[in-house]
Amino acid sequence: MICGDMDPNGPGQSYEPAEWHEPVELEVRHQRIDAGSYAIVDPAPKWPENSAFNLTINFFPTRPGNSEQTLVAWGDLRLQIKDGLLRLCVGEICAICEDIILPRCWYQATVSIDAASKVMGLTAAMLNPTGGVRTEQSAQERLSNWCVPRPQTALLFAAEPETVENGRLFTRNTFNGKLEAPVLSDGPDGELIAAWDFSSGIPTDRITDRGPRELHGTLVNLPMRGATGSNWNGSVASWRQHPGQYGAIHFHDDDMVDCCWNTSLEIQPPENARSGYYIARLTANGVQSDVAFFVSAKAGEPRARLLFLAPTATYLSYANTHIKFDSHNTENLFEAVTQLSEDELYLNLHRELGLSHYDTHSDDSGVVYSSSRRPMLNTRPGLYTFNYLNDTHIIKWLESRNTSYDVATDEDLHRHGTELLQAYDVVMTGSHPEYYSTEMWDALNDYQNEGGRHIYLGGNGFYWRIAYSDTYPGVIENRRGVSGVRTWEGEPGEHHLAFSGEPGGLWRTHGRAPQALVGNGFSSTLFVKSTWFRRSEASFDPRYAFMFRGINTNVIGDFGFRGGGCVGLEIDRWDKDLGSPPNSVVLATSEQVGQGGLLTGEEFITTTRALDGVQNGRVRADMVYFTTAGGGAVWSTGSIAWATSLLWNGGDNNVAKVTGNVLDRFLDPQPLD
Amino acid sequence: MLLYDPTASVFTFDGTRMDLAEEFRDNPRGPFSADLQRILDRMRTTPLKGRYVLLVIEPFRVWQLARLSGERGEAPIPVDSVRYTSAAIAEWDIFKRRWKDLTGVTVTVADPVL
Repeated sequence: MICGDMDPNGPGQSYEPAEWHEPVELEVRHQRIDAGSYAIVDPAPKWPENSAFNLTINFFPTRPGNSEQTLVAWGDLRLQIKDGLLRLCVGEICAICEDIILPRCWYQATVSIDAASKVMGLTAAMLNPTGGVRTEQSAQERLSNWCVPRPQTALLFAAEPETVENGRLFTRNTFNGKLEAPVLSDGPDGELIAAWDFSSGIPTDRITDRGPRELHGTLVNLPMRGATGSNWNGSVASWRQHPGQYGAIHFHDDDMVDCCWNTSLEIQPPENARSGYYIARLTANGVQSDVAFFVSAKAGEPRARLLFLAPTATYLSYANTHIKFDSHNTENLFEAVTQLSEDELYLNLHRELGLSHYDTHSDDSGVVYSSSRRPMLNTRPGLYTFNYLNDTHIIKWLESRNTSYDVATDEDLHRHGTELLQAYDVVMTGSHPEYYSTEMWDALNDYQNEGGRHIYLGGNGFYWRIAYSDTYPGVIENRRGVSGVRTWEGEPGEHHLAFSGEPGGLWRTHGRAPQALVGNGFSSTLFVKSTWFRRSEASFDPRYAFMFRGINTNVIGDFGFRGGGCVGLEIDRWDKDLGSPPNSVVLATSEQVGQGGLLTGEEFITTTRALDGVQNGRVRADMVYFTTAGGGAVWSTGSIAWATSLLWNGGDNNVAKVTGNVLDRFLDPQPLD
Repeated sequence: MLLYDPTASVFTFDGTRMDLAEEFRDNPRGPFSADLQRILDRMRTTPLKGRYVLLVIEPFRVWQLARLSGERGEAPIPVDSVRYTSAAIAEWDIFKRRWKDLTGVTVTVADPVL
């Protein structure tokens, strides 16, 4: 794919068929997706010999409404919440507690079964009693018949089996909320059968049984770990600091990390395939559907001197976003009536396709994982242009000037680090490289400091810290914390990444404001109407003349495909106090940002009405340049709309001219001042 | 946790200020006077349930007026068979509908010539 922007008034779509792939006809069939996370212990514990047992489990329901939600499923036994009440069912017989279970309160459920006396009992005790609520409730029923679980029946936490199709388990009645410390014993004070400790192995998909039989289990669909437990008291903020206070797992009925579909078609690019943006175009009965993929340059085997880093972590973070349906402030943010495309309407109806980091779960908690192992309907040619399609403006521009380039993805950068980057004279980052892991940041920083040259063609880059996981390839984790432009707020004590143990949230809050890496960092959103840059006096220093060669005006980019200017959507500013290097120079600054520009939350401290571009001078974009100690150089445009102005007027414009000047000079091995 | 409060958007305004409706008609992408900006902020933060949206029927050509269901996984509800062939006209029509919904007053200024 050269450019996937469908807008008839845009730069024009452009594709080249991959000559190494012939169209094929396939028979495909519908494959279900089993959304909802749970834990499975398989094989399950054996039935106690005296046919009596006790089970205790702590639970924190986040959406205990009318739907049926299963906390524990073992054979014919169900510990559930239904119609807001806790109940224990064995087959058709249920013991039901009387009081409504309150959302977001910790309870301990105790189940006792005595098959000999044919009695089952259930108790629910509040672990942190709250005013006006009975702290303990219980129920008993006689068992008419007790069905011993079949030996092959798995024990499930947070869901129950529905069917098994072709050897694959499908589940239902997923529990929304946290579970903690299930303990199974042989009678009330009997021998321990199993005691699962969810605070162990937090970065993994394994749950550990501390009991004598080591009945370890597995998590499915990536529920959130590193969640505060019933004993979390605010004395620590990280699961690494005190795992014992993080013995809970938060399950959601709309967690989905892998469709687990059988493969219908495998595409194997040949060794000599060009790296780049690709789509597989599927057609059936007049329907067309594109699947995006990347062919990456191999680390250490460059075929060009320029590397374009496709910001796939950003694409993933936004994948399948539902904010137009679920997030209250969306229309106000974009300041226009919300338009819903066919793909977006489909996503709203099909939540099983999984969520984005911008979404909340059905229980209103924030989404911290995003996976590429599913269809992503807004990461392909279509009406959703942010990030992915905007970046193809850059690709088309590179193609139009016959610049040779390789493409690699964020995950490549994360895995291969400087080994990937050091093979290139110039590295280019995209219109919105917003999500960076520590490994990615360190690699780019080392590359710059070791003489590499970096062109950052976007805005709001290097903003959120994320983590990848070896357990879950293709998945990223992000915690929103309590700062930054975000569509939900992280829960207290849950701002640390389960994949890596690092603090999540803004890089800025961990001593690495984007200014330290690229000279500028996020200041404002500007979705209404874009504006332009005006050259600074400093930019006329002869050292920077190469950038502006052939430019006859001080105003740059008063045009473009997003809002009519090159300064727009999201913009970054220079700030030495946040880490802009001492030798960095502001080459140009935005003008007339106006009231459409709105300061991001971390840019002001006390409340004020002076938050827009009319009243607040921090609402601006700064184009920044600096050289690094090791002979490298960085040029940062500080605006997403810069990339979407490159192709204006067929590419004959001063945004393209400046970018081309910098690129050509950066490719020239002569040292830079 | 900090959740969406559909009752938090409380600004009220004088529905007879046709000068402000006229201002929006003539300059729909701003910048706006402070009085009009507050009205737009109010309109754009109406509760999700029932909020006007546009369904893309033909990309860049035809839009259907609808209201959000406000329930996850439930489709927006089309409003009659109101369709537009221009996003700008749609924006103006929805502005007028919201003005009426919020103040009870019908916008009487002439439609824009596009």
